[in-house]
Amino acid sequence: MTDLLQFEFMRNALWAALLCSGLCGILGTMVVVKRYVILAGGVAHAAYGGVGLALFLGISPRLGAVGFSLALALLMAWVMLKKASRADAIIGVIWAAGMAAGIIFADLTPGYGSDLMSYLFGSILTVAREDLLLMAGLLAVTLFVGMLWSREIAAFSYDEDFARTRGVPVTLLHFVVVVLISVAVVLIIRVVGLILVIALLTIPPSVAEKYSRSLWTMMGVSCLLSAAFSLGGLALAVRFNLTAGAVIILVASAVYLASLLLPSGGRR
Amino acid sequence: MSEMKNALSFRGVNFSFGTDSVLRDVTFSVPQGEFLIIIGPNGGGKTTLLKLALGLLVPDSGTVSVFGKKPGEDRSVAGYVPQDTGRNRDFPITALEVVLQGRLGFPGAKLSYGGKDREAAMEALKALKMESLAGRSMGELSQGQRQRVLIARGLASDPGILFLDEPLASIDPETRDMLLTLLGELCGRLTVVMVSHDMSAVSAHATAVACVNRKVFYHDSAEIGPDAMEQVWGRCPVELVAHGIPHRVLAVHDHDHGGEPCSHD
Repeated sequence: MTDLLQFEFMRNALWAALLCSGLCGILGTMVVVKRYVILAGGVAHAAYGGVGLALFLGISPRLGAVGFSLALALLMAWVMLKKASRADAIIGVIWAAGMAAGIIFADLTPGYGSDLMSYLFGSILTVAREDLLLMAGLLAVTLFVGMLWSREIAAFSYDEDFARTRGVPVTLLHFVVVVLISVAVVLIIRVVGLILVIALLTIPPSVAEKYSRSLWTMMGVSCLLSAAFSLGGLALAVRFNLTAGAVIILVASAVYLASLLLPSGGRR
Repeated sequence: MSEMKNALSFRGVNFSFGTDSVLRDVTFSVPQGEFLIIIGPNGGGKTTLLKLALGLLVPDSGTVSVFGKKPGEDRSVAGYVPQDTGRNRDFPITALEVVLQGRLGFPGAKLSYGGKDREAAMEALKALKMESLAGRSMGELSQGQRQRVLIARGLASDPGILFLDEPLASIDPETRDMLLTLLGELCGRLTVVMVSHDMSAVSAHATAVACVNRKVFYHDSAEIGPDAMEQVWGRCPVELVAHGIPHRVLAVHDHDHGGEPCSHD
């Protein structure tokens, strides 16, 4: 693999894996503790509709996916606040409708089928420089928000009602976290595809949770696990000429299974 | 009557979820230092009453005031102990970090908790005899220990009034007695408002009782002496038990610890 590093696409792939790991570790932890998994899934599939729409309109697919997903993510975030008891069903509808819209737009736009496929399974080996810059930017914003509001985010994650009584801007944090997760999902789709993005967001934090005593440890451990999965998966994919996204997720899933069988470390 | 003497007061408060009326024309005042226990059937509006007092819900009409101010206006005045649903058992957090959340929102808040916050949090844990377990994660603690941590969190801000939602539900009898004794000691110094199903707690510790089922009937300390609880049941016009059973029935449950006195069928 070391010889391959002379190629720019390989260096970009490594950077993408590392940046994704940072995003997945931090925001995936929020997805798991706030039970935003269905929201992340909804955003990922809605993104497909955005890509289709962008191709149909002839604008940048990245822009289309981010814009479309963000709009639907805000709608889903609002549904979670106002219709909490039925949020999962409503989000399920948005999820399916977004995906279906993507397929219809693809039908109406001949010749772009393969582009849409790359959003289904991702293509870490063709990640562009702009994608890396976007990921780095989002990671910087996420870290900034996390450090500025660390206590508020911990309280908001643990107990929303109590946090409200202490003056924590719970509604604002809810929307901020949902927006960060949504943009991250769209960017990570480039690397592992929309089918696998949920796994990369949820598996590392699910393993890390067992061994963590604080949200921040959970985030840190998740980042490291995510990096290990991504780099390990990438190496195996290159070595055996397999689809990188799928290998990354299989590596992650294997470790998750192993962690279920192992006794938990510091806790319980 | 001076508004400042009351720790909590409701005036003509109405609240509904959509078209579903939950509380109607609620008016009562709780003087400082009372130990008020709120009883009533499930779905009768007990938790809603607490959330209105905390400013988590806003009334459709009428006014709620806590020490003469709008709920939530002065964050340092009210402490909250929500019902422990066990929803967050796996959340990675230590007991001390949970209690520190009670220190959020203090004026001049910095980016992290300071030494003063940690002192106050440890003090609160000590009051609940939990200081030796401060570093444990919440998932390792028993239900009774977790409940004590949540109460410590409510006390960490040194509030003038403490609201507790079913703190005695499903905890061991030993912890239950310890908590009741502690709350009994606290009231006087601060006002305690507790939602509970525990009828023996009412008889032994309450200085006031609010019966809640859509309407609220407030029995003050003059009305309930240590032995006069029986009379309260007889006198209260609020229907506490579903299906029209008069709530004299409740007294039967005096020794049914943590039981569910309000769901007869």
